[in-house]
Amino acid sequence: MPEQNFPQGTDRRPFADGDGRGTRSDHQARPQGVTTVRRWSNWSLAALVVGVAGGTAALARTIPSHAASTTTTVVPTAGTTGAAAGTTGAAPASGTTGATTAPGASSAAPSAPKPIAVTSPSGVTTYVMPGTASGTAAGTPAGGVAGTGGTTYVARGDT
Amino acid sequence: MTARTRTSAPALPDAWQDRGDGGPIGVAERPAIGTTARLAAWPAERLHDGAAAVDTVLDALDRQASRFRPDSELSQVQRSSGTVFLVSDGFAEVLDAALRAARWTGGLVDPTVGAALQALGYDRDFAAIDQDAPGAVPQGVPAPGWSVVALGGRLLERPAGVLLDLGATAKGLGADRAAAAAFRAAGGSGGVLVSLGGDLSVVGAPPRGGWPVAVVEDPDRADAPPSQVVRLGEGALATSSARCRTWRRGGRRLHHLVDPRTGDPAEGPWRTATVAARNCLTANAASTAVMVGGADGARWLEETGLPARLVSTDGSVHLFGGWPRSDEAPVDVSAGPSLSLAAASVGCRR
Repeated sequence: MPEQNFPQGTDRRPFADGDGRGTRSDHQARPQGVTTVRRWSNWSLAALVVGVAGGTAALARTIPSHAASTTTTVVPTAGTTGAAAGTTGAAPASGTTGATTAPGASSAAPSAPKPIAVTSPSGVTTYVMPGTASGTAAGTPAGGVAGTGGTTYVARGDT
Repeated sequence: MTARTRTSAPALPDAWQDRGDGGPIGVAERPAIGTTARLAAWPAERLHDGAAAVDTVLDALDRQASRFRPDSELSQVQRSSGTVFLVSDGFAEVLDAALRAARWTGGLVDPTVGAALQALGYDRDFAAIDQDAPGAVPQGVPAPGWSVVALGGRLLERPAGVLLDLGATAKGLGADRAAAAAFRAAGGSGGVLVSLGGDLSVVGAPPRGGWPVAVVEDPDRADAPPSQVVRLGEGALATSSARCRTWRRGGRRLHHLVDPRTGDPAEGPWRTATVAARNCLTANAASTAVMVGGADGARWLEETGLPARLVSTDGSVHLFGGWPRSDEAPVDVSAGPSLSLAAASVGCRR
């Protein structure tokens, strides 16, 4: 089998000469295939490097922002409020509650520096007749919540 | 009518009194369902629409669940010796809420305490009750138990003679209904707070930092400083107490929080319980359960994880479930359980 010449400095010969396992064309095809694979590998490696670098940079930008939001949200839970009962030193003063984050808060929301309502006992629900304390006008059709139709006795004797 | 005139807002509906300070948050009050309804809304220009919606909701609730209105659906059921009734959708929702609360609290909140309350003398609107009547001390009438009542859709089955009282849940449900309706009527933007006698629900965006709410033990002492001010961003607050709505019979002091197991006023270590939850129905039921259950109620409450502030009969304050220790701190209601408000009264809830 004649000596073959392969491009210098590129690829090794896959098989030793005279091994009887292939023809000339086979020897030429294999190095080209390997070369092609290696060239793809280089591009893949390059892409991988670029991808990892980009991902790392993205994470570096993202993680600190999460950490910042966690530390600035003020939603005390049991054992984390620090201040003793009856003391107000750790709490924002009235009218300066902007640092407190309430669920559903809107940037357009106004501030409310003093109590707007009280939660207090009022006793069991006591209803009053229309036109008395409740001020409800008599004769107003029932409904408004679910289209009421009134109670109907539907079975067995009613004395 | 309005106590002051806004140039850009229509007048409030009848019976409402403007309690605002002219700022961006409108506030108004009116007497309703035997107590005071309070509405706060921002922007203040939406207050009128919200008030009209609250009126509609409270009128409907009154006609559904009043124990003292002869024409209410509840009164019709109570008077009847029949046992099966087809009720309105709205009343079915009220009943459904009461039965679900009873199951959730293990019967500490029981809608079948109507006869027990009557036996104690609470048989009419509280304002009409003789505050100190002589005679024998009333004997407790144990409740038959909530499981004797069945609800399937709009079909109510109640044994003859079983009297219902929906006070432990109807007001909370009413606050939730009213707040949601007011928010919708206001265009679904901004924020709304509705309080019914101190049980309150908020919907929409709160003011910055949350709605500031004073925790008060005795509403009759308006000059007394609040025990604490908390900020509510979402959800609801409810307070129950044995200090209010009391009367005497035969020299014995009685109150409205009845233990269904005995039929007597609850005698627990707590005099006041304030509970926060994702809706007022849940908060209302939980605060009542704690008062009725006493030490058992406190253990039950601890298991729920709901934020709560209990005041014992000796005045000591006990905090549960992450209730804030400091003034002006927010109450986080996101962790605790919640009785659903959805799908009014569908299916049997026994």
